[in-house]
Amino acid sequence: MGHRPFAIKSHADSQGAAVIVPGVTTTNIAVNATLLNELTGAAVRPRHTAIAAIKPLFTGSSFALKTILDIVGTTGLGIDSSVNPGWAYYLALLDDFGDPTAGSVHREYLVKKGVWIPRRLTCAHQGNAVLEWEVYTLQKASNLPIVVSDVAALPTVTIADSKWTLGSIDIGGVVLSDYTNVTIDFGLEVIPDSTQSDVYDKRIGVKNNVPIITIEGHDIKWWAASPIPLNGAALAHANSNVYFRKRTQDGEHYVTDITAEHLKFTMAGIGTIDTVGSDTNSVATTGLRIQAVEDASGNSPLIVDTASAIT
Amino acid sequence: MLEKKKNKNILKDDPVSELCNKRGIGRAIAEEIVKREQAEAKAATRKETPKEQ
Repeated sequence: MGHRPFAIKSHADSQGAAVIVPGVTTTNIAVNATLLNELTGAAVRPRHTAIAAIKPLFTGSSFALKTILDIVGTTGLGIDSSVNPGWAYYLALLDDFGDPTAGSVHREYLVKKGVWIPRRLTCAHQGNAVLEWEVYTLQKASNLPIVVSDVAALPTVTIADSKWTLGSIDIGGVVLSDYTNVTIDFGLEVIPDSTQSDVYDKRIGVKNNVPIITIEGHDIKWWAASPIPLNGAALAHANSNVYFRKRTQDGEHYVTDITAEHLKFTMAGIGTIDTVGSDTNSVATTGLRIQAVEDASGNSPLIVDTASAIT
Repeated sequence: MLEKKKNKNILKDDPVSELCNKRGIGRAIAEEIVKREQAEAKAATRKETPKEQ
């Protein structure tokens, strides 16, 4: 007897059809209960305790970059469920031989209202890109923020697992070389909110959307008149992009550049050199940091194209 | 020597991409919004067309 992670099903009102997300790796649920137990008089043990707030939060990661980014974009998905069921995470109940049990006996955590946001995308040299995400949960009418069921059927995963790794990078129109790590922090700060001493949050707002892209590598000449001098450089969507190259399961290793299955992020903002590190008997490293901003045309600081050729 | 390229990224400007670019929403959601807006526009046009007496 035990459970294993199975899949995420996202079917908010704003979605036409349910999407079953493959490639789930880690998922955690933090209940985040705040208990009040003030001492009174000379007591050293509380004589009254109560729950003031419960703020359940899902955190997870996945290789299913395209599937998730097509839903959440770079700013997140507001989950509501007046028409459709909402957002759900499934844990498969295992039989005594470690296989998922037949029938509707599996655990479902259903979120009827909340927000699903991308937190961070990371990729290291030769590794697979991983997207970390969060789901903030809200109370919808009389429903708890997470509705738990142990009589759920497992959804059918139809989307094939895919993996992406480092692709080409242009910064300010300059092709970078010798990069080893890329991190895209989507920079979303959300504020769940409640009033009237309600225990559960009822609404949520985005406080900040300040994406930061960090690129690390071995080419200390990124610090130069071009692409990034000491005083920084203005970057635009037109000349700054980071690709994640889609892998294949054969001797070709990667989907061809001209096939529109790669991920492309473009960004506008300011690029600065972050650090240059050097140590005895090792290759010097450098870090480049881009603070993305909304451009004069009102474009998002960070734009993702989930079906791009590498050009 | 680092190679300098000309500006090459042209943001897609179809209605779906425009929504994604401006609002940062996911493509699947943008497609639904555009589909709904087009259906509403079509319904409004049909309503405005006078019927033959």
